[in-house]
Amino acid sequence: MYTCAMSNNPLLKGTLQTIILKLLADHTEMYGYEITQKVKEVTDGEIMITEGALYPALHKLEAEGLLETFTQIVDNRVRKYYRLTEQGGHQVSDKLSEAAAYINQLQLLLNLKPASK
Amino acid sequence: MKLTKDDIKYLNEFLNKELVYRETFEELYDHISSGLENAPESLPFNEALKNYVTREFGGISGLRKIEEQHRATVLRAMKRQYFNYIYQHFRFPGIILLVLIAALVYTIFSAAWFPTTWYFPMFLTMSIIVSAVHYIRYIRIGYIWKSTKRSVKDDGFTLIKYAPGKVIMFFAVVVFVLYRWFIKDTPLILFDRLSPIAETCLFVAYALHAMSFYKMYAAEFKVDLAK
Repeated sequence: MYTCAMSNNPLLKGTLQTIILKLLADHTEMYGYEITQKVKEVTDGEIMITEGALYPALHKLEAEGLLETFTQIVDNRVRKYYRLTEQGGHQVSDKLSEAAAYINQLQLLLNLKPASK
Repeated sequence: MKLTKDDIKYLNEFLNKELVYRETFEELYDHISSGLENAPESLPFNEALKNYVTREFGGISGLRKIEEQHRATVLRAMKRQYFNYIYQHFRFPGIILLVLIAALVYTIFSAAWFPTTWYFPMFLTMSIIVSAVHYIRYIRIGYIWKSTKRSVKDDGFTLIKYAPGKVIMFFAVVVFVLYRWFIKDTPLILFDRLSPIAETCLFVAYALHAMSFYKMYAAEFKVDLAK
C-alpha cells in the first residue's frame, strides 16, 4: 500500500485547498481533526493530511473569505468549525474543474491513459 | 484513551506554555485532545502526547510554525482590510466626505484667527480617540489584563494603531537630519513652518486612519454578532 503524507508530496499540496473545499461542500461544517480523519477514511489511509499543512490552508481559505468559522463548546473545550461562505461555495466547482483538467492533462503527458474529451 | 482531569490539566499547561495566541491554543488543544481520545491506551499520557505531537505536527517546532503562519495570515488579511477602508474614502460616495473634511480643515488652518499652537492638541485629540476605540475593543471582548490569552487580532489592531505614528516618526527623523545636515539649523518648531495645505494633508491623512481603524473595530463585532 502506498501511503502519502500531504506535507511532503508537492502534487497533493497543490490540491489541498480543493480537497478541503470539496469536503466542506459535502459535509456543510467540519473541524480540523475531523477533516484529517475523513481524508484518511475516504482514501483507506493512503492519503494523510498532516496538521502542519491543514491548518495553514484552512486559515488561508478563511482569510480569503472562502471559509467562515464558528465555535461550539464540546466536552468542555472550544471546537472551531469551518464552513463554506457563499463565495467559497461558488469556488468549489471551479476548483474541481481545474483539478480534473490538470489530472486529465497529466494522464495525457505521462501516457497513463488517453485524455477524455 | 480516556483523558483524566490530570491529563487535561497537563495538556492545558503544555500548550499554554508553547503557544502564544488564543486562536491557535483553542484549535490545537481541541485537535490534540480529539487525537489522544482516539489513541490506544498503551502509554502514559505525557508520552502519548509527546509521540502524538511529534508524529502529527513534527514536534513543538511544528506547533509554533502553525501559529506563526496563522499570525502572518491574519495580519495580512487585517492590513488588506485596513487599506480597503482607506481606499473606500477615495471612491464615491466616500470621497464626498473626504473632500468636505479636507475643505473644513483647510478653512480652519488657513484662517487668521487659528492659533498654530492648536494644531498639536487637535492631533493629540484624534490619537486619544483612536486609543479609546482600541481599549473599548478590549473591554467588549472581555479581555482581562495578564489573564486572557492574547488573540492574533490584538496584535493586528496594535500594529495598525501605531502605524501612522511610526511613519510620522520616520519622516520627522529624516527631516530633522536633513535640516541639521544641510541648513545647519534645529527644526524645533518644524510644524510652524508647514503651510496650511501641508497641515491639512497631514491632518486628513490621520483622520482617514482614525475612520478606517474605527471601521475595523466595528466590523469585528458585526461579524461576531452575525455568527
